[in-house]
Amino acid sequence: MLTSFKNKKISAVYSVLPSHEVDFMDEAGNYSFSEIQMKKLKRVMGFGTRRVALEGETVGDYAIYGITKMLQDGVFKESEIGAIIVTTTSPDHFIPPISNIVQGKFDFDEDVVCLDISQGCCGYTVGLTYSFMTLEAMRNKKVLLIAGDMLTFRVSTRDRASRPITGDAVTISVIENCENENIAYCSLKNDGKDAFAVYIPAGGTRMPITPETTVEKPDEFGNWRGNQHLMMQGDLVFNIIINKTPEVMEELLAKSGDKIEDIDYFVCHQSSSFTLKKLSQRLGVTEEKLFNDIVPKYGNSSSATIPVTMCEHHKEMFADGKRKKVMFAAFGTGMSLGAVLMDMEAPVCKFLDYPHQS
Amino acid sequence: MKEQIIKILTELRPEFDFTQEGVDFIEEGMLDSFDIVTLVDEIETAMGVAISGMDVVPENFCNIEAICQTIERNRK
Repeated sequence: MLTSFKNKKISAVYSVLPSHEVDFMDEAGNYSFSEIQMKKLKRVMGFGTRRVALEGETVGDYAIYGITKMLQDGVFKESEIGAIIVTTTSPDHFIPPISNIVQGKFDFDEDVVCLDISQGCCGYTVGLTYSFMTLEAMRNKKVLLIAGDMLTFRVSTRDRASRPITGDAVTISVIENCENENIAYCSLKNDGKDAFAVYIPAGGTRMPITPETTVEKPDEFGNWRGNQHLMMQGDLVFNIIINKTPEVMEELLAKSGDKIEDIDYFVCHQSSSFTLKKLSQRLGVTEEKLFNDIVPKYGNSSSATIPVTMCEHHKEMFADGKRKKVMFAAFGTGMSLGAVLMDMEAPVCKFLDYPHQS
Repeated sequence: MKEQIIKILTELRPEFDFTQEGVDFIEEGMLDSFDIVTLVDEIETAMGVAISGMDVVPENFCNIEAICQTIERNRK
């Protein structure tokens, strides 16, 4: 779907990160890497430190903590919110949806639309597009977009492909109508033929979790996983990212009439340092314009990496106080691809460390 | 160029002999996907060439000849 919306803006972004941090170099015993490989992969792939939630903590917990802080900071009022949209692949429960749990924790109106969208790394671009669509129907309201994941629990501790980069984070963005004549261009694409390229076999209706499904077995590369763990065809996913993401981005440029050099910043989903480096080379843009520093510092937190990147870089992005042309792009489970191109003013951005209870 | 590539490969996986003729590094388990991305990075740094992401596929790194061809193709 290629579409556009007038007069929309992202007015605030809060990122809630676990206080708990782990370091790849401390996990050597979990993986079959040599010491030389570990040092090289730390640099090439961005296997560094990452923020990891504690068992039992949920996306809903982090969202409620972040929204509480936003209300205390006066970022919005409960009466201004018309919809709560959540994008995640780690629901707190099968039932109820996280958006309803969040709605019930505060004094939001009963008229508030609650919508959970099952989306992984592409979630922020999907969520933004749905937020813009929702705002078309509610001119005087704002949307709370909650994007984040708690996937560390779903990745085997002996999965050397995914575990060293997986982090947890939950972000809350305030999306609203504005009068600045801004046009946001959005493109969402899906290719379900590769739906199982990123896959958790057990835990749903098809394969309930049983003692048998949790038995971990090795693959040919030395990864040990049970069926309740995330499995990813890394080569296929990398190929899709490198081939398809630039096409979606170029489609938006053609629609908006901009050239790639007109874009001030590319804020992309950060899957690994290597992937982002190859993407920036493919697009012909420098890493000053396409940020590539979130994975080694916080980890890949799925749909949260784009808003986390904004929180990390908003000061330099908007240092001169002028509006910037920003391209968001993401790729992930489904396989889904999404991109949004819009002019942005500086949103209110903040990092919060989640206070663990244990 | 071949000597330089063998040196990089040997530093990466010292347990293997990369000078053998007619050996498929991927099929023989001498290189996996992590070795390939590391190799790409080392080649880019040592030889000043950017390898296109679309070329980062196992068949382009299965022997010394294929690696040389990949580098040459990306130099053009």
